[in-house]
Amino acid sequence: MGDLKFEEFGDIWIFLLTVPGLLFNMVLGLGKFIFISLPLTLWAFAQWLIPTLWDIPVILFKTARILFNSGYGLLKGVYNFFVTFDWSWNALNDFPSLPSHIKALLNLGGINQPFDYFAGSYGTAVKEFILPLRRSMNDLRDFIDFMPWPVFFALVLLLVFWVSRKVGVVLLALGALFFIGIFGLMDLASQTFSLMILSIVLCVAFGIPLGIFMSASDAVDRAVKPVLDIMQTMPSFVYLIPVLILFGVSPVAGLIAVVIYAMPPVVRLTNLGIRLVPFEVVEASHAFGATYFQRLFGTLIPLALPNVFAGINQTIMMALAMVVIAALVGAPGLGAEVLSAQGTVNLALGLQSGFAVALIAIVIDRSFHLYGERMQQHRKVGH
Amino acid sequence: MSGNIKVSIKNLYKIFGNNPQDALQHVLDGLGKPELLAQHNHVLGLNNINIDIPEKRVQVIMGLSGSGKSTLIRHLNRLIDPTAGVVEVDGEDVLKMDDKQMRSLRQKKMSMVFQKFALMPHRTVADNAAYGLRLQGVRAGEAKERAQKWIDRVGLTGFEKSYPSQLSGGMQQRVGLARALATDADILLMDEAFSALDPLIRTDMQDVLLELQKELNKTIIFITHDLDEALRIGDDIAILRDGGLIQQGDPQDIVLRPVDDYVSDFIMDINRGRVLKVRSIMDASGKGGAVEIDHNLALEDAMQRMKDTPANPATVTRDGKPVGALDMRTLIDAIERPAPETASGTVYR
Repeated sequence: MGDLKFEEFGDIWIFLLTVPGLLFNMVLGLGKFIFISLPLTLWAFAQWLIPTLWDIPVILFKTARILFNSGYGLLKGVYNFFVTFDWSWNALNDFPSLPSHIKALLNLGGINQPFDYFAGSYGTAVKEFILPLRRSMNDLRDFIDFMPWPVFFALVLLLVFWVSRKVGVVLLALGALFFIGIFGLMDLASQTFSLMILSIVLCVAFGIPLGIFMSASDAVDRAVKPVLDIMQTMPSFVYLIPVLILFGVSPVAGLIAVVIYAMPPVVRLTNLGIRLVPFEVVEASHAFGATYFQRLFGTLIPLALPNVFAGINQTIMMALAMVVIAALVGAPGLGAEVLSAQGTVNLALGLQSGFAVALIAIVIDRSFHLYGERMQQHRKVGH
Repeated sequence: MSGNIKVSIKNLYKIFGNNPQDALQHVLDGLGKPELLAQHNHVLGLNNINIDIPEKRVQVIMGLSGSGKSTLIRHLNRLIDPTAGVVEVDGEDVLKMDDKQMRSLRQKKMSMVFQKFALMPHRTVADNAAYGLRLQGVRAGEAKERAQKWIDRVGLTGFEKSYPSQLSGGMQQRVGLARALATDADILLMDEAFSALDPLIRTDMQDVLLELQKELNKTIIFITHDLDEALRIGDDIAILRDGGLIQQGDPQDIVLRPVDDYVSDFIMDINRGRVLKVRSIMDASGKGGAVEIDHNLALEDAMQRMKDTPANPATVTRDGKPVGALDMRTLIDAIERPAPETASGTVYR
């Protein structure tokens, strides 16, 4: 017994000594990605862009030539079509599609080959760029894995209580943890957690500034809205193809899939929230001589917060909805378990891991809902 | 009392629409508001406004809704940019200012009180009152102290930690007033500041404003659609219609000599006996009898004094010295509602 106690004691020491390092690495990795890798990449892009801009006359000439040639080709094709078309009622059965040789030319030469070329020449650079993210993801997973379960439970329950301030939700969270633990899904759930946390941090870090940009300029608003629509409606497998080519089957591929799908709500609702701030209040801040940033941080964002929170909440929900698809491209966790359950036609396993995801979603939703409500109560109705 | 000109508005035009400059040419050629809207689909907001506002006085600008009064006041601190014209504050052209000068003007020289209060709902009363000071760059502690003084002045002591939504309309507008006064700006722009309040509270707020003005002597530009309010607080009244200035002058002058039917319709229902003063209708060369009345007395009070000896004119005095006379007949004529045909040509009653 003594030996056992000593062993556990040692484990706790290792835990205590390792946790700060892991946390530090995680924050550092994420920070490195956002504040170093990203600016450096943008800088490199700018460096490439400027000499390219210098070549604009040449590019324009080449573009004109290509356009002229394609226009000529198009006219010729149309002419040929009308000449070779057999003008009969039978020909109206099917809409005339592109002939297969032209389709091949377009798909291969227009899309696949250029992307392959990009992946071949810049693939390593892209991997390098994403490396800090990958490391921070691993560290976060290690951190959660490493925690003794009572500590993990306590942390989660404390967090839920801090956010919701309601015993009912804490009990719900405890129930969810118990459910996950008793079916032996804790490890998988912790992997899902780490994926969720990172993707949400990324969504918020990029989504809120983008939403602010959109609210500040109608032109940006008009330009970004269709992109958001596409991000939300385009089947995720489509953008998973290039992600797979670039990153292979890996957790990072899953992370990117989740971020692309889950970011639009927080962008939209940040934009909407700022645009919905009452005009009189905005006018008052103008009338007292506020600068844009004073107005943004003193008036617009505080008053838009309920909407921003609703956006973050939706983002979390959508991120959780993506776990299975993320699992398809290599993100470990509950999603992978659902996939394997489906592969082996194991209803029980599928139900257990599926319910685990649903419970996590419900706990987060309830606590954030209460958080938003509390904030509004504080601001709008009073104590 | 005339003093220096604080704010001067010259040839100000504002046209709302896609192509205001072209529409301006039509206006200069003599097109009115309805014609401009019908023929060119542009709205004439302000049409050749010229007002000089002396310092330390209350200038009321009044008109019905759509007459352009709120548009006009927003030109003074350039919340709206004009189509043409000049706005000078202390001799400086506001329209030529860059962003930085403009912000400094809004922070230090002009503050504004809004019809719908426009308080920051997420800030407490104390933070709201200190808002202008914080924008001036005053440190938080000092701003709070200075704002507290004004919170006390408008009678909101004890509500510092409340949020605007916890206060009644009148109290919210007191916060708005405190916020505007806390910046120590010389010019106070009040855009229908009391129009959203209940009649009793409105009178209350007018008293608060008049009392503060007695002491502070700010240049107040007050927008209203309520003539009683205008007559009560205004040293000078400008009346707008369809974006044009149709009459400007002393309240007494406007009541006694309305320039056209629109203005006389406006003054139709006011209590003339309370608004008009003895000095406006007295006979300066006449000599009165034993009854003495002050030249600034309202007519209804003068009537009270004179009713025992209606046959004899009373002596009008200023600082105790006789300056003229007033007889009962003139007094009654002045109080009497002008005959319908002289007022507007339409018989109302």
